[in-house]
Amino acid sequence: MATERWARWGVYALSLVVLAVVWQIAAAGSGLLLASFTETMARLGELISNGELPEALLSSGRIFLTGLVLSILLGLPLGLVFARFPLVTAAVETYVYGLYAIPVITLVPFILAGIGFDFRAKVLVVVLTAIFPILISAMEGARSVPGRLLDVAHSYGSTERQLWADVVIPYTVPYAVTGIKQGIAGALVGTIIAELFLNATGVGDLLIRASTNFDSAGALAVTLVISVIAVSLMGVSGVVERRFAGWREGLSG
Amino acid sequence: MTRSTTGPGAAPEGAAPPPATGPRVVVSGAGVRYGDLTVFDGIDLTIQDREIVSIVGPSGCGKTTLLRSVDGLTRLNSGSVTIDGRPVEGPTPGVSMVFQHFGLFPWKNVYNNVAYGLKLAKAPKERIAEVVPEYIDMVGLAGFEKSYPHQLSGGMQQRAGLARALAVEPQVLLMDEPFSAIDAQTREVLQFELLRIWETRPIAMMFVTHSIEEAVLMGDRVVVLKGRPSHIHEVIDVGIPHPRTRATLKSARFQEVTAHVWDLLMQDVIAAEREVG
Repeated sequence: MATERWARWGVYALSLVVLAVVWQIAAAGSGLLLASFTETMARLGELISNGELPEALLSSGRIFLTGLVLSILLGLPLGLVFARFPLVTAAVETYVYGLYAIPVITLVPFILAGIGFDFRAKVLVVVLTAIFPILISAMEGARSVPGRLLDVAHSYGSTERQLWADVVIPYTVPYAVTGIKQGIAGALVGTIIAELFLNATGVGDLLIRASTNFDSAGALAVTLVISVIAVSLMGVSGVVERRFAGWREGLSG
Repeated sequence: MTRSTTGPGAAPEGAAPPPATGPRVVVSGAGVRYGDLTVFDGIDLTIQDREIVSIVGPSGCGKTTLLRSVDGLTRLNSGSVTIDGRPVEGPTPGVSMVFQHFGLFPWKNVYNNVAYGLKLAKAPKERIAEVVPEYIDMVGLAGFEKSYPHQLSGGMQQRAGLARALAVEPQVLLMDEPFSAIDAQTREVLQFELLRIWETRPIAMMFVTHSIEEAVLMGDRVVVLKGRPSHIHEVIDVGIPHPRTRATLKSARFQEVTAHVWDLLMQDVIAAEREVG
């Protein structure tokens, strides 16, 4: 077991080294277009030490977190309500799926015209990219509670309130966690969209400035940081998801 | 062990416990329809205290539906069910059901699954802490309190399901094909364990099964449902005294009753085959 784990980490580290080397060689022949690995790392160090990157991350992080938290706080209860009242679902389901299917970027002009480009407008873009997977997962979860578990609850004289607390909500938790995981990915995209297409702030501003200045090293450094953050967030939410989904295996039987 | 009749499921209003003998469950003229299809009709059945009544019949004869109507999960379209003289209009305290698919909550461990009925009945914490381990022990699950259903075999899951049903100390126990999803060897072990538990504290029990042997082994009487819509075709007094053991399976009376029920049900199967052929 232990050796297998070391081997995995070893291969992982090796793949990073190979990536860096390939990057370095590819960049050598491309001139201004692609900064080399070492140049990118040097620029990354600069962006961190002069405080530009931390400041940008803080500013983007505020938009990301506010949008994500709002999406969870609105998405989960709305999903449960939709599941509970089939008539409400019938009325709104089409629009929910419709909005989910629309690339949020097409809504940006309307948001720009309607709200402007301040913090609220950016948070709205994040909410629009993050809320639907959360809402839909909660709804699907609450709707798919097996009849036999509802029978048990009724058989023991459960009231409607107890039924929600004891059965519907616990059953929905793993679905909601999966939805939140997708919501995190959506919120990341939403944050970048908001910062690139409303007015440039935070990480989006860094990216735009780097590319207009032909600072390919800076643009790559920022992109690299975004992907590292994205991968870490996915990793963490994957761990949380597995923790909550342990009992799901028992349902297949 | 003394049998408590003042458990949380027994008499929440503080009423005097009902007498130990006499009819517990009275089904009269019961009928259920789904749209145009009448599942069963005109069912009259009385289950005495401390009596086990098995119900057998071909698939789709409505034996589970009948059981569910006693539990208040399915509404009758005609007739009535009373428990201790009170008409059943919904789930009734003092009546517990054991489900074919166990019906354990997968996110609760064994302890919390067994405690579920007591918690809903608002039993005090001290009482739950006292009663739950007792029943977990009774069904042979001591040491598995913290296990989750998906970590247990089917047989052990149904032990937990049985403990949950018994923990509310019901006067009527409804068994809906409880062992049909369990492998044959474990099923036999559980049948005798259930009989042993029942013998220490006998209550009224309705036992729905599609196994003729199981029906005869468990039942003091065997009710055979037949026909379309189905009705009670025959009620057989098994006449084998308790305690019943593995030797019961080999007794002449057991063989005789089993063969008789077999004949009653096979007539239908053969007729159905002819219809199809």
